[in-house]
Amino acid sequence: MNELLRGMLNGDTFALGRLITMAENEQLELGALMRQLRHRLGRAYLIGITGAPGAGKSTVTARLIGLMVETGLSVGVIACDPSSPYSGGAVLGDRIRMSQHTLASGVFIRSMATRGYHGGLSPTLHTVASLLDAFGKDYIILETVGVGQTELDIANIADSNVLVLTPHAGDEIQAMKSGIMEIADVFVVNKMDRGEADATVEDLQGVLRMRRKAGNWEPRIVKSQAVEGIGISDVFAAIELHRRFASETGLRDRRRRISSKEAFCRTLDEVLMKRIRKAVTSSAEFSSYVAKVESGELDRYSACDELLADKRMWRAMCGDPPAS
Amino acid sequence: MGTMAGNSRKVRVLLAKSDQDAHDRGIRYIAEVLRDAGVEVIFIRYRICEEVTEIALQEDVDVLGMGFYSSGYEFDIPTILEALKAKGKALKFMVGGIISGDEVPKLKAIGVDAIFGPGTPTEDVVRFVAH
Repeated sequence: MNELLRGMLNGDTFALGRLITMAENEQLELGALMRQLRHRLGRAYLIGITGAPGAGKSTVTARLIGLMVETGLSVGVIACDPSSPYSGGAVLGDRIRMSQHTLASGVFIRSMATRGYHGGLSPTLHTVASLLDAFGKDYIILETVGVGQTELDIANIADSNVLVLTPHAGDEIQAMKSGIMEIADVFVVNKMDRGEADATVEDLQGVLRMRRKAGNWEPRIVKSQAVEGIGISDVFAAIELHRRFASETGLRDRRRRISSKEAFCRTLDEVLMKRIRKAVTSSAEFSSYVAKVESGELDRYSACDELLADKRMWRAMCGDPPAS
Repeated sequence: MGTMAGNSRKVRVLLAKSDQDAHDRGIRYIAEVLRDAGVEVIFIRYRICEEVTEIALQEDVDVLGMGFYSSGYEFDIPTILEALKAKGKALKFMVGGIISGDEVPKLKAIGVDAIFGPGTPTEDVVRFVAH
């Protein structure tokens, strides 16, 4: 790991690619990795791009990359696509829209499958974002899978959240009032050539007006036609405006604190789940209860209750307290 | 799906097709077959060979698959193989599509691991990729 880390910190993309894979597969000790990266974190600005499937997230992302590269900024992209719940496989097609930037200097794009997680993001996303941050990227763009109303994990990770919508999204906007609408700092009405973009903007304004509160960030609404590159500088300008606001008001720090806490809780959940489940499912008691449930002798709720009431199970789950 | 479904080791494959070759039916079909076999597939179209190499590194794939239905592979394949070797990137390399018979031994000699012509059972491709 140390050799790869050295390579990565010297700007070797191959080493960065390897480390991301190892983090994704948990083939290295993540605690050790994070300790090594610690002093190199916190410089990159994280932009979350989310929205319904087909709204234009990848195309908006591609155009933003172009703009950043022109300005001499480096950018890392994490493009998430869903894993099949049946096979566990995935076709990761986001970067096909970003192909013109493959060889641009300072651009690193990584496709990630969600690997069974909900929330529109991959579980190891935090770690991968940290790697890109340590690699020295000015911006990191996190592109989620096409999300609906409740997959809002992105809100807890990114510094600025961009929601990409399309015209005729009126009903959608109504439906999204209480979900994804609340997390967006910048609304992009993409495919503005399709007509009714203005009506969509008005709908959005209507919803946002009701939520306006003194001292809070007032989300910006931008029209774009990302395929042609129209409106993208406005999108970037709105993000930069939010960035300034967030840093001046302390919002950015607040979000980062929440993000750290959420990530910690999530990791704790995972570790606990793994440890406890392993202890439980490898016990003899578990097998005997499985047999009882399978034969219909016992229902699953009663089996859980009885299994967890067993003192030997408690011992197996919690083990001895750590030494010292 | 519970949270435990994550973190399993996955095979990652890059499927690449030249922008100058209009025929993408085969490679798209293979993408679906591999996804259904539990593989993570990155699908791209490229203009120049350097793009393929760079993406193979960024995505850190285990397998590279390229499809050719017209000429061009005589140049692209050695160029990409050499660039990968120069970077120290090891992967399995498979080629599909129309490869003329006398080219097959040449390609194998320079490091192509498998050539899947028309009529290849998809199981062969899955076996090659997954094992």
